[in-house]
Amino acid sequence: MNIVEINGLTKDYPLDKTIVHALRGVDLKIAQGSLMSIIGPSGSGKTTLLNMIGCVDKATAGTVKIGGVDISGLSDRQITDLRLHKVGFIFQTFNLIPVLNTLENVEFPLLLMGKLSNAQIRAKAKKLLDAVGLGDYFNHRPGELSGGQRQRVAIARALVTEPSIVLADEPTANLDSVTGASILNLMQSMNKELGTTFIFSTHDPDVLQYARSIVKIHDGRIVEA
Amino acid sequence: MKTLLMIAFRNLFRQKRRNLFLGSAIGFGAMILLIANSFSHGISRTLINEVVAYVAGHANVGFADQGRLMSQVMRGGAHWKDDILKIPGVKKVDPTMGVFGRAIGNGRSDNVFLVAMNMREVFTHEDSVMTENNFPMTEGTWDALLDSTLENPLILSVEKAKYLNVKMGDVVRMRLQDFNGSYQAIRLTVAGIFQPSNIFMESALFMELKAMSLIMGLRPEDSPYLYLTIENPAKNAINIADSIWRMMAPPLAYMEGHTNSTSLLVSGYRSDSSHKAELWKRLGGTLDSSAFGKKVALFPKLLADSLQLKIGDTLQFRYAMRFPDTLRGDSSGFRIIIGGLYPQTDSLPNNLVLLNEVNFYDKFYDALPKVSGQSLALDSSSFWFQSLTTEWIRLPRPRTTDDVSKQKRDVSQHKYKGTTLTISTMYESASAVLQLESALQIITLSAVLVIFLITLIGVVNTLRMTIRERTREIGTLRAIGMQSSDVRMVFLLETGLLAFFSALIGTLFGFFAMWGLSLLTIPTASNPLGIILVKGHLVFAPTFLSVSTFIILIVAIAIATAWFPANRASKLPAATALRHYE
Ligand SMILES: Nc1ncnc2c1ncn2[C@@H]1O[C@H](COP(=O)(O)OP(=O)(O)O)[C@@H](O)[C@H]1O
Ligand SMILES: [Mg+2]
Repeated sequence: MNIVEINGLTKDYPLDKTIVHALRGVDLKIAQGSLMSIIGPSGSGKTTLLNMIGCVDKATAGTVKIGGVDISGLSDRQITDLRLHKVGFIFQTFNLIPVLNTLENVEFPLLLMGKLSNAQIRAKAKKLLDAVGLGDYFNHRPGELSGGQRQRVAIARALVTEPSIVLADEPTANLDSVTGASILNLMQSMNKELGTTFIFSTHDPDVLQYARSIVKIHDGRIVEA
Repeated sequence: MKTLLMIAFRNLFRQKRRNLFLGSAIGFGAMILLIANSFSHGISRTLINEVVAYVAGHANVGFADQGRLMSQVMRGGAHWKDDILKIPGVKKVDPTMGVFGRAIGNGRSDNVFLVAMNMREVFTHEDSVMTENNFPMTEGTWDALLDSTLENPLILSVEKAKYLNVKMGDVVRMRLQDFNGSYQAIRLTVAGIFQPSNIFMESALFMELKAMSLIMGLRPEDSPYLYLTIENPAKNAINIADSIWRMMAPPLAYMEGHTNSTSLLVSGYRSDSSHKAELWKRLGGTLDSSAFGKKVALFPKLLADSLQLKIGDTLQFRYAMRFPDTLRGDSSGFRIIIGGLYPQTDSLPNNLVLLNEVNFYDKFYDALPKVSGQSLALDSSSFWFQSLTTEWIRLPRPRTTDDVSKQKRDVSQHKYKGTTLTISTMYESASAVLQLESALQIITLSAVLVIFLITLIGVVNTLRMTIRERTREIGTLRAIGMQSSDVRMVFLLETGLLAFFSALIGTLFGFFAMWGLSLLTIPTASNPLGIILVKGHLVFAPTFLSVSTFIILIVAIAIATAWFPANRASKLPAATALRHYE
């Protein structure tokens, strides 16, 4: 079953008096449980595409279906809710909440969901942090962690809600190659263990070995799938 | 919500210096606001509680005998004191009187206000505290007013004693007009000297109530001015004054008596032109205008016929007195000159003689008649009731200081021929003071305005910077799945918390500042600030209500100001926000 189905997706950005065509008609199907990499040079539209899949941006034309639901018909509130429940995000710059410690950062999406008890939330967050190897860092603020540690927290945060898809936009771009490799290894093993769909973008051909499928993007078009 | 609150609270410590700066500004504003408000409130409380309440009581029941403003007596009204005391909420009813006169000391003289001090009745603890507060004695004690070995013991202020050049034991002579309108020369002995706590008290001379009643020609059955002490005056004074007003509805004034063996009722009619014109019409429209003269009476025609009396005849009228006295016995009387004969009307008894009220009240108050209460029974809403004389004239309850002074003016211009009754509370007597308070509140208002500006500019600027710095974080929160309303809430909470804590701390500082300021001693004597000082100290009167209102107000202004930037930030598209790099 395809968790993501994209048809004829275009995205234009107005820039001064011209228009930037960031995506120029993308068709893409992503099966549940994939570990997919989107590769392309800087400016090719990777982030834009991931934003479309992650429902943080609206398409100019074409459709995006997440779990069979066309998101263009949803309200902002519904889309936000969909992101909370179905999508996990990992960013190039980690983007943890600086005023929350490691544990609280991971608990945060569950608190937003408000479905579990505080104890259940805590237990779940601790388990995930243990799994990403940060069992001893619960009380550290993001500022006190290294880049690799931060990205592990981000992975735990992305996974804590048990989403259908985790989107990682160049997750290793700000890390040295060893740390980057460990992060990708972690994603790989989580994909295997939990069956979560992982889609990560990169401009670095070296990291493609971690992916099970690859999509090449160039100038807003998929050139090879 | 708890999570949002936690994030908002922790965010406060992110830009410490910026928030400290804004917080100090808000706190400073809150402090000014509190001090300004407490000061103006303190002034009006001082004026009302210390001055107006002392000068006029929480409420007072006042009389002016036959249009003489200084003749503050109600003949035969002594029972009212006890009647009023029965009203729930009335703690004390103090008969008192005051009179202006010229006092002559040793080679110096001055205009003074002689006031009666009710010393014989129980002096409550509050009384003594109030007296001690307002008049701390420098020489002698208040008890000296009761010293029977002295001739008319007198207590006066240090300033007056100095001016009149008198010391303890000296004689002060005084000329004054008594309640009967005659001039009296009296001798007073200085028995005590006090230091006034505010300048209103400087020119008052005090003597004991009983002694002063004798001098003023007050009979035991008469009532002087009554000052009321009321429980919780702010809440009750007006209601109590209103119920006293209802209780003191005046009955018709008339005499039951006889001429030879014929029984007569004698009453008066209102002599103002409109009442007189209507009366003329109702009495047949044929009476000569001379029949309404001040010296003559309107006589029922049928009775005159049967007694064979005609216009110009005189007859002797006698009636029983309500308060017999040893000098005059138990009856009184006067001569009636018939000025006109009026036809029988069903509404009035057939033996009713009507006098011009000027004439009637003279006789009436001079010797109050004993009446059965049934012989002249008229419906109080009827024309007849309203155009005949009542035992006293109840003036409407004043609602403002203007009302009070207008009533005084009307009385002094002899608009009323009978004894007028005025019931007012310190809130009417002091409505001018309350107006002063509202004038002073303008200070508070401008403080509010300043606060408003500080908060407006400060909050908007701070938030703009904060939001720019945190744009990517907003994008992250939105991407993770936080609703935009929650994002907005975080910013509002953040601003609200900052404003709340700042206002709270500012208020604390305000209390400190007021405490410090009220410790200062400022000389009262010949200081224009004198009236707002209590024993030389500034008075601040913060109330819980105003403190909480200000804090809420400041928080509300801050949140309202934060709304627009916070809302805009929360509506940023997540993708745009995430792409934001600084
Ligand atoms: N908000 C935007 N406004 C204008 N142009 C944009 C915006 N976002 C992206 N672009 C442009 O769209 C193209 C694709 O960008 P992006 O998806 O970020 O590429 P990548 O992530 O592959 O580097 C680029 O040319 C970029 O400059
Ligand atoms: Mg990119």
